[in-house]
Amino acid sequence: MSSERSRNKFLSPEGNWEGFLSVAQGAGLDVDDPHMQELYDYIRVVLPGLQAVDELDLSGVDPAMVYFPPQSIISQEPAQPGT
Amino acid sequence: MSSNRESLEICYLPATELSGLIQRKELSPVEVVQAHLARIDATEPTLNSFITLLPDQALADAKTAESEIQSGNYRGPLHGIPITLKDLYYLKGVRNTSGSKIFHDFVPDFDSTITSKLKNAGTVILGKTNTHQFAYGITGENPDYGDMHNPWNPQRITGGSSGGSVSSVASGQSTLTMGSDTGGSIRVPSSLCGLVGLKPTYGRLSRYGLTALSWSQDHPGPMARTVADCAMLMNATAGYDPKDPATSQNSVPDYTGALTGGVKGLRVGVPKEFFEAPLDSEVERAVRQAINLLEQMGAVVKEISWPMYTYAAPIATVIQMAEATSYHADLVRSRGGEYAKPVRLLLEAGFFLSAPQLNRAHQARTLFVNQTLELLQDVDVLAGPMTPITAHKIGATEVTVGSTTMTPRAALTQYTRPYNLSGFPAISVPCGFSAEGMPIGLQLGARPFAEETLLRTAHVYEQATQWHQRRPSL
Repeated sequence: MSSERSRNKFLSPEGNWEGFLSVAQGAGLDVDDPHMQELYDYIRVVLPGLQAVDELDLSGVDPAMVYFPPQSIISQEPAQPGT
Repeated sequence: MSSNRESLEICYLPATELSGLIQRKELSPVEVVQAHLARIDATEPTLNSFITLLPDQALADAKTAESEIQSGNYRGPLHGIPITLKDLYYLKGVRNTSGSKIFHDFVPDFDSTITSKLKNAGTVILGKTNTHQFAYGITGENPDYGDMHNPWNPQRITGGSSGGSVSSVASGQSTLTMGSDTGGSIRVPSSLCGLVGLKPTYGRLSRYGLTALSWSQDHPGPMARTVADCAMLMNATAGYDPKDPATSQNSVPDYTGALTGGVKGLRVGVPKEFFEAPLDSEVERAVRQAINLLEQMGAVVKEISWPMYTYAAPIATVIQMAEATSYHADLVRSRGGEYAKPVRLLLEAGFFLSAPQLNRAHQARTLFVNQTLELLQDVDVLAGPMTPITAHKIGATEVTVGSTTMTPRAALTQYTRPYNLSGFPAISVPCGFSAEGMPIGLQLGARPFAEETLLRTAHVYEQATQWHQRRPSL
């Protein structure tokens, strides 16, 4: 199951403990730590509030972190075909 | 140099006045620092403002300042003025804990750019102040180094994360201080402790040599008892830094010079959404009176709408969580149990955000910034409450705002996020006290690099009122 699907399942009202543990393990957290229950309860309260961003129409909007290459670097070599 | 001034009187002089006394040799930097160290001795057991106090170094620096001034080598208006630094600012050779025992013994071998500038200006650094752990909190509660206590009522929070910084200045332990603001951490404690706190435009001050929380939302900035004192600090610390790629090459104006002139014709927008959110009635009354006073002094005030205001918190929070978790990833995986529980949970929660979710937040940020810029074509400043409540009791896990129960975090950051998200400047200035004697703050926001407008407006308001002259009875 993709992490996005796992995330959506464990944020649902029914929850998904296994999905949560799968994401936690992938993140490098110790899934055998009893603290995991506390974290599970916490993210089920905190993360749904962040989904308000999904209400916005973002079509055609560039993210505020578009990469612009440094303007001062100018290649001395012409581009070679086939490379 | 000698003076008959009372020690406590010296501790509450604004930097603008202290500066003149020092320059004219009517007061010695040594006497000034001794007065402040005595004040710290008397009040620190109650306030817990400091993680690292530097009395010997401070006295040595004061003696150096005295000697320089006596020999005609006057560095400028901050020469000999006591200052504290939030324990995120690297000070070479002095531990930088960031409010966590994980870094109890970490000693940087270089100064932050801002530290360097303040040293060159001749300030006397009294110590490194207490902070919410890793700056990731808004109350000023710290299980490792102890909670910070509000000088107006020590049973109440200072606010955070720059809690120790504000308590050091509000109590007279220091004249000036520097903090940082990622989600309100300069403005909130300033409001709760009766100080002026300026979050400058993103990139106006260098972040080099500060412990990061959220790279794209971290703003170093000044806090003081008066607007003019904040302006003095801005003059000394603002400017381009090649070591911080986010700093602006815009020239630095004379911020103290910008304090002249009134507010006649200034267009003040009051977002109606601010007053539709949960809000304590005493705070609302004080803020509306402050806005009315600006109008009486010639500002043109109108109600406006800021439709995306309610989206600022979720957008900013996604970005902050992603960036903070990235910064702490290895440490929280290996030493999570050593973090304060609320900080640990926030950092671990960041692992559960997805890349598309973060990208959508960055897209939403573009929309938000564009809408806010449009808004600020028709008005010069945005005005509203800094916090919806005054300082609550230390240890509270929920607060009542009007008729709504909220977490302290949600309440205290209710008005802060728009300016961290956009990077636009915002200032908190005292605008009253509650019936219980707790400070209330007015927040003003403006276009990028319009700190002069903010400082002038806040200064005019401050000088027309007496809130900045009140002292805690500590």
